[in-house]
Amino acid sequence: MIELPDIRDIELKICWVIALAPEANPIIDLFDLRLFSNELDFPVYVNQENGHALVISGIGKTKAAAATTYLKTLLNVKKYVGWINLGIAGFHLEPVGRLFQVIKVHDIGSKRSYFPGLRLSKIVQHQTLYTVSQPETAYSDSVLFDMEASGFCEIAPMFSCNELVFVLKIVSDTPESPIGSISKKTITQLIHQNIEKLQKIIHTIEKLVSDEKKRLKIPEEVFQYFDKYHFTKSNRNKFIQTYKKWKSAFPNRKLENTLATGNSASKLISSLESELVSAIKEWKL
Amino acid sequence: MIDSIFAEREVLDHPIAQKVIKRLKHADVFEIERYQEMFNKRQQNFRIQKQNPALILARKHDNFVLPAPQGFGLDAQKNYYFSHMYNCIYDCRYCFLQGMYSSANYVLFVNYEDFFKAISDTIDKNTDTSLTFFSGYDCDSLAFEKITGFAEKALEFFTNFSSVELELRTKSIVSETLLKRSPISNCIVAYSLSPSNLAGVLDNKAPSIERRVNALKTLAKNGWPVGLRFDPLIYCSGWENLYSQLIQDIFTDINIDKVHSVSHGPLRFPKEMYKKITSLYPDDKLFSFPMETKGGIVSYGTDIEQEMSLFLQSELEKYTTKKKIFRCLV
Repeated sequence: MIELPDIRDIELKICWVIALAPEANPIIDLFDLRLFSNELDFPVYVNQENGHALVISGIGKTKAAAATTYLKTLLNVKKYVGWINLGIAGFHLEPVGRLFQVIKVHDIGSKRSYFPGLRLSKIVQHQTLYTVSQPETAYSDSVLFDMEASGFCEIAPMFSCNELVFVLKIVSDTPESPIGSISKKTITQLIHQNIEKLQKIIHTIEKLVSDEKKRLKIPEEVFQYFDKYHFTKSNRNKFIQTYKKWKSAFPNRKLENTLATGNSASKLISSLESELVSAIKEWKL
Repeated sequence: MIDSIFAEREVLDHPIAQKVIKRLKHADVFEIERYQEMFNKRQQNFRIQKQNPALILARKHDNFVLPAPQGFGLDAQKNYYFSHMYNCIYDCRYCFLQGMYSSANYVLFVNYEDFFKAISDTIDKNTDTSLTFFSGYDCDSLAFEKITGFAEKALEFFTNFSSVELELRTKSIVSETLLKRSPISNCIVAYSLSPSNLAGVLDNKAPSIERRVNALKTLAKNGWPVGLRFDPLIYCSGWENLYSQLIQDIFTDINIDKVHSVSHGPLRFPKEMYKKITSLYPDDKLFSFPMETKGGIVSYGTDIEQEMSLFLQSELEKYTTKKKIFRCLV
């Protein structure tokens, strides 16, 4: 186990929730993830350098939901981070090994449906998936079958947003290739054979995450003023909002120059507002 | 291009749904129960979803026709609007739809017949009143026409009600549906317009102003009544020259008799909507302007609004009569 870093130092980009170790191992290798903790039967792997974290949930939607929550809480995962549930699934059609992005997840038990993720149509084919409580062997509908996705989809969007939550499934069994013939080794191979496509998907998701981080981030220079002056909650929000407008209007100006004469929260806010107002006549879009 | 269609099970066999699916033959079709399962849900991110919206085919069950908000109409005694579609293929930065829905997917209500029945009922109830119906409140009236065919049906319908006006509000230059038929005197094709360099920055994915102006002049030349909508008015350095030039360009070489009406309106947002939109695009200079908040409405403030309104009014009066000019205050 690696020495625990301060969780505030971990800048995550993508969190993986994967049911089984044979499914997770290729991702652990790909991103050089190291065991971070192994509590509550949810082993967590992290690489601080590239911002990937992974939890092995075990089988079933409840465990998937619990592991997602655990990972979020353990690493204090930020709102802009992408979440991926990767795993194997049954399908009515060969070939085994095809990768799909699931864009509709239907929980057979609760009858609820979820529509996760921005559709990455240019990279990967889409499919509907049913989450079932027992392995499906009849392949009764022309959809994918798994046992985790609905639990993941119920929870993960609360920690990020629906469009940054992705369900990726690889066909592992079909009527012609029954579920009983799948070994741990086969599962790992199925993931391995899709690594190139997965990398393209991850690259796209990382770009979305980066844009979302930029949108939500409050720059460091703002925080020094929270330490220096007393801000009520409402003033704190107003300062952040006004700062964002000010920064967008004057990207090259320095906050310390504008706020040099301010000595209270409200004066700091009004200094920023004054600069905006004085620029009205020359306003450019 | 739309790559995925989500269709409510109950509309899959509807002839309009079938037509749309046929027109988008490369799209995958997924069944859903109700459009609300996936539209405007909590935790959705409009900005990301806008990168690749899906089309949802649904049935609308009620509220087919609604009274237009106060200050939206022209000179009719009563104004109504209807929305056969939610959301728009364009991505205009000032658009209220960004703050209205958390979802950028397009919803098309395929039961057009119910819209026309409701419009017909409204007309019957208001026989002694002048009426205008506005299409394009929650979407663009023509931008999606090649796929939906709604405007064509609406034109056929309104042909039978010559004393009632229909306004098709648009930024689209797709006007074949109109040009292939004789003009309908009670149907106004109203173009949303702003100075070219402002539209270039703000009207993402929409046709350029030059192309819109050409399209509206062609329609006027072919006998269609056209409306000019300078709404919202956008403030920036040198706005007077920009609007003055735009107005001059439009009124040069246009069949002036076919200019049905001209309206202008300020940039305004309900406070919560503004908050939502600015959080989606915090770096956009449109939203870093020091706006004023009064009575729950965010705007440029009375002084700027008044200045812009008076200027537009006086510029427009150089080219057209006062009675054709309206100030929209929604």
